[in-house]
Amino acid sequence: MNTQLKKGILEMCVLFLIQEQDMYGFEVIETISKDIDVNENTIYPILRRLTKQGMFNTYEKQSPFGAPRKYYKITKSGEKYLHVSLAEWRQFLKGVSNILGGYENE
Amino acid sequence: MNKNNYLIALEYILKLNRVSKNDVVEVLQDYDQLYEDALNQGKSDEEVYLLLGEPEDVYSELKDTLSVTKKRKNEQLLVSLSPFIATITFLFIGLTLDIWHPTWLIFLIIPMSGIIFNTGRKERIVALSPFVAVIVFLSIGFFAGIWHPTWLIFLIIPTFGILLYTEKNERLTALTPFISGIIFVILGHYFNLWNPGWLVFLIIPISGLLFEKQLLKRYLYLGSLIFAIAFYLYFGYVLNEWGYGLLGFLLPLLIAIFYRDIQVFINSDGQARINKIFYFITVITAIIGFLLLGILLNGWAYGWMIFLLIPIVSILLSNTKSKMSAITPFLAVIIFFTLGYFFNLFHLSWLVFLFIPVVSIIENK
Repeated sequence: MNTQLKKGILEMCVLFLIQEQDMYGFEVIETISKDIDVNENTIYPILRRLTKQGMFNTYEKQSPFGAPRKYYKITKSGEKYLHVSLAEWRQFLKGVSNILGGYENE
Repeated sequence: MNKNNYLIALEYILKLNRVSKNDVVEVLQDYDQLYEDALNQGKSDEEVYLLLGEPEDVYSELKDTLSVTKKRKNEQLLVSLSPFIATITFLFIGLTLDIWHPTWLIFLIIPMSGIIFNTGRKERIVALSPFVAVIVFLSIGFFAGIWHPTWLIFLIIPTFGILLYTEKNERLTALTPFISGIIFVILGHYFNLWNPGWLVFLIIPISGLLFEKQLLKRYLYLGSLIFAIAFYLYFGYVLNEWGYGLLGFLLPLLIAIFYRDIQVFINSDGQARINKIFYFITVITAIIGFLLLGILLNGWAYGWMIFLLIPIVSILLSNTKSKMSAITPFLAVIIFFTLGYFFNLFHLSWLVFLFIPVVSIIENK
């Protein structure tokens, strides 16, 4: 799959997961890699970029292993951005399935 | 690689690219946590390494989220201005003083400034060495007409590479091909001792033998080599039968077969074996080609270019990602010198050096 397209989709997935519940970096990587074949170092740069863009806030919380972990929490603008992205994504999927569905039926 | 080594490598890459202190600390803390979490999940160091990616790749993925120091900004400005500085200087000196040649050398500041400001100390020395060699070689060649043996300056390229990238006890052995090459050329050129001067290349296996742990093996090899040399010199000088003299080398050859040291190609499989054979043929071809050009056509001034085939073939056979970027400097030197030397086009041929950054940009896009 085209790298840019995949990155865009992963960005949306990261936003979606963190909207559901606050997560730490490795948790996000693990959750996503269960369903999607993520390429090595893709997720952390997305987390960092989205944090820089104000989509996430971070806070620290003690982990059971001792050292505190950085947790990511979605912001209002993150939620807004996710909402727009999801609407665009669904619209896009609908168009794609119309086209591919049409071809398959022929 | 363990967590510490991974973080050290990442820190090195970030600092090399002059990432601001705050961002370095933040990224390292985050990767420390990621690494630790992965280990706690029962992953091995190798698995974590694959999951997090190589430090160089981490940096290139994070690049747009990192702020750089002011010094870095100034350096980048200088690098981007270097083509303009070079062009203006070249035109100014050319038009006012009519010294187009060797003013064109100023264009070398374009790739050189990129190397100076974008590489670590070790890489910088190695990467700059071809440019230093070209400048020294051409300056001495043009101004003093001493092309040969000035071409020996090109040996600084592998020499720096060996000095900076090999372990202390391997350095001597790794350097011996170049040391013996220099001695061989001096013996041949100044004393016309091409034969038996080539015997000096035996320094290479002899230096390797100094580190041989099995005493019996070491002394058997050394003894057989000394015998072979004495045999060769005796047959050559006393009986004037150099050809028969070579038979003395059958003794060390037999010892090498006995100890199974002659298995360079036999031991490898498939592609690795083909690569080794191909590389070996290239080295031998380069040496023979250079000597033939020099001796038969007096082509010492340009014959050195044939040695550039060795690193080119080595790069082509390696797993290096950016092959064209790595090869271009060598090709540029060959094209530049060929056009300049044979067609007297030095005032134009320098343009070929502009391909170096261009190819690198296109390939690493």
